[in-house]
Amino acid sequence: MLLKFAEVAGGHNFRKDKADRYRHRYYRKGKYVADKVGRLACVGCGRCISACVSNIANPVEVFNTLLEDKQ
Amino acid sequence: MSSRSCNTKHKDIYLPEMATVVKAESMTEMEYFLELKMDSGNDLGHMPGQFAEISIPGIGEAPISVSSSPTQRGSFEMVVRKVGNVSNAIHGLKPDDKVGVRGPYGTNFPVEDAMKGKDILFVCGGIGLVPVRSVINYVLDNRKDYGNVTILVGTKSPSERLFLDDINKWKSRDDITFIETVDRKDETWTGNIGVITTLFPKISINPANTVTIICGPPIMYKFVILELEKLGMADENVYVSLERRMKCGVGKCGHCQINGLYTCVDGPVFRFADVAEVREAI
Ligand SMILES: Cc1cc2nc3c(=O)[nH]c(=O)nc-3n(C[C@H](O)[C@H](O)[C@H](O)COP(=O)(O)OP(=O)(O)OC[C@H]3O[C@@H](n4cnc5c(N)ncnc54)[C@H](O)[C@@H]3O)c2cc1C
Ligand code: SF4
Ligand code: FES
Repeated sequence: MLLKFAEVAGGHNFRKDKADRYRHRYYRKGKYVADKVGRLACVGCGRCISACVSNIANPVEVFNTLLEDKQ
Repeated sequence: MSSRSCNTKHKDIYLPEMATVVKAESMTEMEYFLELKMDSGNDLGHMPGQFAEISIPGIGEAPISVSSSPTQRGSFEMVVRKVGNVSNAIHGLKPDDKVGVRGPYGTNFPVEDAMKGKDILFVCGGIGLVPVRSVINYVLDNRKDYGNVTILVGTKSPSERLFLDDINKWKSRDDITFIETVDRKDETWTGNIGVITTLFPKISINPANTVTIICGPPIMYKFVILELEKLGMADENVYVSLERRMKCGVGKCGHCQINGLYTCVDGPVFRFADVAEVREAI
């Protein structure tokens, strides 16, 4: 969750806090695009999961759990 | 022809059209002025407030606002602040050089609908004058379609002021009110000193009949909106132009999201009432 992702030219950062970036990551993959096109934006490829050593951000697990809970 | 064939006749949205630099010059230490002409011979076809993706082959692409009014035919103008890869390369451009152009993209200020017949208040901070200049000149070129026009411009220091030729023209017109301020003065400056909100006591507007346009650094919006609330302006009559980090410019990648809003297609011009309550927007 890169600090510079939401930084603009003047140096202002719209998501300075880690919590905001974490929230955005899930909403981005799981809500905003889903609302727009009707499907999740995570294909479950696992690239981000293997890059995240501490396994705190596993979208496959999170989305699957949420979907199973809903069923 | 079936209705489906309309959709299949698609243009590659990532393919830039080429444009040629007509004029290129430094405006300030950080800002570079460009006049561009599409190689197709067509106008860019933008409305005030829209932007285009400008590309330099081998370097990259950047979203840049169109600063000229569409009433100017044959060419269009942009101003670029030097901040990184693409913007540095743009600063090296000379007349006859080529750039790629994708666009125009995004929403525009409602010059042909909500603003028509209304008094207009412009509030521009720093580089925010770049896109708003397009609206100001559009309104002035169609002066009779609008009521009272008030323009407030704030700049950090006199050496960073942009569009001095336009400002001199605006100052000399007696059918508009133009007031300018700088945060910090230097020995050349004899005008107002203070942030842009210090200009509000100097103006008189009729909030019920006014449309306000705001563009400036993120921090400016909060304070200007407080002043507008004091005056009794409704959020429905306030339009803001917001900047977000962009990539595709066409609503695909999501980089520019403000929650579920896509700045590149739902914006960059938003009605304040539509974003006032959106987290991370203002
Ligand atoms: C709708 C819109 C209109 C804009 N209009 C203008 C304009 O008229 N004139 C102007 O000078 N600039 C404008 N910008 C900002 C401009 O797009 C960025 O300065 C430019 O993309 C930086 O690219 P770079 O390759 O030079 O910088 P990079 O080397 O990529 O990065 C340098 C820094 O620039 C910022 N940045 C990078 N990409 C963007 C981006 N896409 N959007 C915002 N900030 C970014 C980041 O803070 C980054 O750290 C506008 C941006 C948007 C979204
Ligand atoms: S698993 Fe990670 S990298 Fe792969 S699509 Fe989902 S969010 Fe993207
Ligand atoms: S910049 Fe890609 S969706 Fe807005």
